[in-house]
Amino acid sequence: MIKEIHSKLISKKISAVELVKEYLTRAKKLNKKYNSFISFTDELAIKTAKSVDDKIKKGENIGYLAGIPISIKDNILVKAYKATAGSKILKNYTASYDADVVSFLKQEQALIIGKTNMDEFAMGASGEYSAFGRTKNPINIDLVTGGSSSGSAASVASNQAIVSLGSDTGGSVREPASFCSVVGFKPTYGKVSRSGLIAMASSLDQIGIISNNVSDAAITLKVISKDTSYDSTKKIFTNITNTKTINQLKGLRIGTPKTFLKHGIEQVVLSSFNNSLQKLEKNGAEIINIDLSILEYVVACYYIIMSAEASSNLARYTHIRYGGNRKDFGNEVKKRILLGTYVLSSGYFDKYYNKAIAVKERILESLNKAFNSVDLIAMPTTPTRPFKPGERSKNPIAMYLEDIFTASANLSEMPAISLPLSKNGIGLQLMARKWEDEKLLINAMNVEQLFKTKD
Amino acid sequence: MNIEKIAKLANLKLSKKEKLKFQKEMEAILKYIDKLNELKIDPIKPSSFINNLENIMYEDKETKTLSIPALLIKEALKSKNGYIVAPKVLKQ
Repeated sequence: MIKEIHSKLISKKISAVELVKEYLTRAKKLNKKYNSFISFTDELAIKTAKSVDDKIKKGENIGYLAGIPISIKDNILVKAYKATAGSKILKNYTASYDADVVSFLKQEQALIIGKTNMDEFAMGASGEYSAFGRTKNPINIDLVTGGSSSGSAASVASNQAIVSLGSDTGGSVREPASFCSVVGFKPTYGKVSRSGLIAMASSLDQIGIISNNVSDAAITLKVISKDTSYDSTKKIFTNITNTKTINQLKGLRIGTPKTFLKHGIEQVVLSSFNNSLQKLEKNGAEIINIDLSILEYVVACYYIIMSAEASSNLARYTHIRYGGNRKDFGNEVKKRILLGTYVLSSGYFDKYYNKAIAVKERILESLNKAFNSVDLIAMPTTPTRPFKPGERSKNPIAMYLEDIFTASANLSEMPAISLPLSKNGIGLQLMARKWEDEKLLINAMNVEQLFKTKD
Repeated sequence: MNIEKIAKLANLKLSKKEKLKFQKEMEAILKYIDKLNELKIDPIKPSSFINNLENIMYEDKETKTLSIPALLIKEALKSKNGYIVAPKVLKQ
């Protein structure tokens, strides 16, 4: 999709200004239906589009993302525009600097058209916990979009934007992408700078990409993964090594934890997943059963570590520093702050936090062991299809279990991608070893060809 | 679990209704995460990152930062003539 628009732009079939006006008009109109945006950045988008058109007129080269309408999750800072993180407490907060990823997009002259709706401070798996109202799923507005990057997924699924940047702490890019039947990619921890991303759980947070296809995600990754000195966890790649990658399904070894996938998963999701494996096998991939029984503990482990880190990251929101009142936090945020405070409190630290850290190491070991015999690991992205709003809010554990297949990639810092298997919100998740983002994307492109859901 | 003590540590003021609600929900979550005790592993010393990165620092040079103090003043909930308006601290 990006490449097609790019060639239309450089062959002057359309101008960037026309394109951005078309997208802004459509996004604003559809926003009434889906509530996918919190604010729009018209001025920035139109100004950038004009300069893209000037460059094309002068015959200068432009990058693939130049002139491409992009939406940004509202916890990523765009200078001089509001960044609410979906919270009432930040409803008047204006960003005073650009996030690194936003600087890179601006250098590339991508068209940032607006800030997308999200679960408050990225806490939620349904898009229902935003202070600005829930996002509605373009597949069916009576269903949730998934979360927390709810507006990012909805904006791409409804063609309000070509690509969107979200953030993924336990599945927040992949899960809504799966529920809205688009592609969601979480890069390796340390692949993309998080400077200017409002922190939730710093050892897990990663900026990710939601797009219509894998190729668009790969193009975007190249731009946003540039080096920076503002995030000390960002790995600087001094020399890019081209590891040998099998660029075909034939002989690709895909591992899947068959026994683990038996329980707590909706039947239609499981059969759709199993069908996809059969199709992959028919096309030459080798499906290998792996033992990941440790994943039974992944949600418990994740909720301890995440809430512990979130409780300290969110301690900064006091009326002194950000103007809001801590009473204004939503229920889910308060609950996680309380939980995090509890697991870190004296007397419980060893029982919960240190135990979770030990389990995290065990999860990493199991995954590394599995990767000794496979190239990729496949699981469904979520255990269920998109559900109705309100359905999970009464039972917090049921909501938390939506992260069961996604959270291990965050805990192990590995890259993972969700590909749509159908048009009704079921996704296939593929995971690769740490730093094998490119290998994962190349293979995902081949897998994607088998399951084309968009024409 | 003493919800009042935790709320105080978390710097959260909870209403009576909220205390009841969170007490109940937290207990359910704690019961769920207690599942980790099925695993017979000893707590280990906390690891921080597994990236093995060392001392990534940037040059300490002056760059253009916030050039407009007005933007910062605007961030305040209430401002007047370039000053931040805050509640009175002294009684008259």
